[in-house]
Amino acid sequence: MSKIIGIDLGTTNSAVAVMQGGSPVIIPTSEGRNTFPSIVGFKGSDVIVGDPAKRQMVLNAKKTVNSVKRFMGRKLNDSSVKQAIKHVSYEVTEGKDGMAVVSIDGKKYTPQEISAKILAKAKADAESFLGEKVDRAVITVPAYFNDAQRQATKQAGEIAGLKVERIVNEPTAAALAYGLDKKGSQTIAVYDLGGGTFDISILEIGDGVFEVKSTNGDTFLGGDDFDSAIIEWIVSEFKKEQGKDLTKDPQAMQRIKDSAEKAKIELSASASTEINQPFITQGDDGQALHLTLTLTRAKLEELVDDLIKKSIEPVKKALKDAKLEAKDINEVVLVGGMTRMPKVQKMVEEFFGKEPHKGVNPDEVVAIGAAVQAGVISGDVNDVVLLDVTPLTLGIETLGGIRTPLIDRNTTIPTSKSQVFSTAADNQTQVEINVLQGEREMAIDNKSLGRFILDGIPAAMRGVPQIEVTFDIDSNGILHVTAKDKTSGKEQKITIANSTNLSEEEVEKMKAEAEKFAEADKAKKELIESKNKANSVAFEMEKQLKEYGEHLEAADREKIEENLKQLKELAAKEDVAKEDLEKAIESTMTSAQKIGEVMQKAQAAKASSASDQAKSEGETTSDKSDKKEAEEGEVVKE
Amino acid sequence: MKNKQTEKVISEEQQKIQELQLLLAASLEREKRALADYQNLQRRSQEERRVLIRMANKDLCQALLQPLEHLSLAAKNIQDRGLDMVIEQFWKELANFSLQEIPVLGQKFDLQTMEVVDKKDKGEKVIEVVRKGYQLHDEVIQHAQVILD
Repeated sequence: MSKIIGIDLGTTNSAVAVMQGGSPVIIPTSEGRNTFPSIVGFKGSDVIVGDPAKRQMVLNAKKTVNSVKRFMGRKLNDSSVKQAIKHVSYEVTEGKDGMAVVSIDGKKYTPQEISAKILAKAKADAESFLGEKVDRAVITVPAYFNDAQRQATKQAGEIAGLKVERIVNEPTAAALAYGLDKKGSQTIAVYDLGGGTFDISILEIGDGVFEVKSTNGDTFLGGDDFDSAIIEWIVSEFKKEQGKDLTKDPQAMQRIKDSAEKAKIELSASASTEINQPFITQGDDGQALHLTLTLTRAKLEELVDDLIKKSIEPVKKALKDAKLEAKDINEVVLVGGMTRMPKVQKMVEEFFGKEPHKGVNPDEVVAIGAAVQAGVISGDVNDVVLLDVTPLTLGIETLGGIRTPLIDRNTTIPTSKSQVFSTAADNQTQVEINVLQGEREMAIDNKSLGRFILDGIPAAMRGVPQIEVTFDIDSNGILHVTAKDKTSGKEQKITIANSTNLSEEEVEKMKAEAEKFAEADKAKKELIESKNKANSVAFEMEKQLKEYGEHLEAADREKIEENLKQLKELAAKEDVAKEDLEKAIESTMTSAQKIGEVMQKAQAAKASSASDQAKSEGETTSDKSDKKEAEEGEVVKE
Repeated sequence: MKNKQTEKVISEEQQKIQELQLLLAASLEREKRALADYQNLQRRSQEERRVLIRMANKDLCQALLQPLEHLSLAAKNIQDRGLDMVIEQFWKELANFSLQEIPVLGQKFDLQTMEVVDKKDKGEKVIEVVRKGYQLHDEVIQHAQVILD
């Protein structure tokens, strides 16, 4: 069965999302963006949709259709159609049954045919993203859309080759995206300030069913108006300062338009922004003039104050129609790019007296909600296998009582992980595996889930045996720990039930403790690691001394032995400072460089005698000295 | 009597088998879906990684475009050989990272690389460039804003 996609078919922009692995993801367009302009351009027999259509709009104004959603399922003599016609540059005429249709080169297109082009792009992008055919969709419409408009939207989907599984209200989709359907009965206000339209919807939800109590809005209020306000301000400031009117210079106006939009976006994150456009025009004396302005957030808020206030009236009306007061609203959801503006958020928060939901990207929230609805229909959501996660880190105890993690907390199960460990002492024939659960650095501070011994390891130098420890948690949360000696093939295992079903309190307690002791634990762990390092260095040096000691000068040898003794003493001391230990390691290593020197000399002597021999036999030998043995990848642990 | 009982048991068992078969089919379907989702995710993240590495400098390049454009404007106004050299140097370095200006002036309008901001007459060829266009490798990172004849 193919996937069902969720489509937010917007007036200004559209977006597509789909459920994947149990969560909704936005489908990027072929241009690599998360949303695309709802614009369709006709050029000969070609149809251009989205960003490319927007780029050729000026050139092809009469054949480029934007905001077609305003005409969906409406008659030409509809007052809203009459108003919308004033804002578009293509021809809108009367079609069948008095319906508004778009006329391009004398050919009539119904709004659903134009919308179908937008939906076809959504379909194509989804297919290329998913790598499979897509023929089913959930499409969103404004809550105020009447039956004719909903039918028209459904038809648009069908023309595009999509079976429309459901038409969902945009505010409902937004609420779904926040999972508000799972929070029991409540009243939700959805404040949607997009690129060109403003909608407010009051929804009531009970038993997973959404009911639209009222809607209101302003069909010509949106981000574009905010941009215009900034542009106007820039132009008037420049005129004040330089006495030049930039509105007559299309090149300058284009640069101002771009910087106004940029400034608007920047002011959502910072308190002030610079608008710098050097060489914007020339003065009467031929001198270059520069545009340099600082726009503060406060100034911007002042400029758009009217626009923001304009949205309040519809909100009040919607509440009144729903016979509710602001305080009766349980949840507020923000939709549309303009709701990123801090002032808009603040105004909404003040009006409703509660903080609005704003975690999901407001440009994508409707498409995300549509995908959630699509997931419910296709069974992706209802039947979703809720995969458990390990609440706490699982690991084993290693040398010096350190906890070495194997499976980190919050790992989705079933999962399995292996790591190779080795012995800590020469001729060690058994290792103890202590299975730990918790977030603390030291083994002793964690919960021991069980322990077992793997014996029969063939006697060898420390660090040589390879013991593979495997943690495997099945979907029931049962942990199987296996330790296997790779040489002898001997293995031991333990099964631990209930490794995941800790109570929430237990998990929280353990996490809180780990956080509390994080610093101290880290210091302790580092000290032990230093001690382990010191022991390992001492062990290595002693071995080398035994082998090459005779070639050393007596004084050097004594010094190294003295250093070694000190190092071992320090490493054995309980309350040694990590810095002292590191220093001792350092000085031991430095003094032991002498061993390195004699080792090299001894090897050189060996090599030269070997090459002499080879020469005398008249053969050539290749230099293999740089071909090192593969290094043991695993750190020596328990 | 016994036969009837046996039949009843058989029919119950058959029903159970049917239920289990349905359950199994659903589980298998879900497993396949999860695997497919995972494989698709893997494929996509590999592709994303490839693009990410290739386009790692995209944001930086995009951020540099406006100051560089302004520098060019300054050079045009000030007409200083030294400044021209500096700008040349800049572009040489950026070209090493495969950032290149898209030549548009005098060209026929191309939807893939240009955006029209104004047209004087027929609207065929570019007579003025309001903002230069650039591509990084073969991806357009800034469309040229042009005025057509």
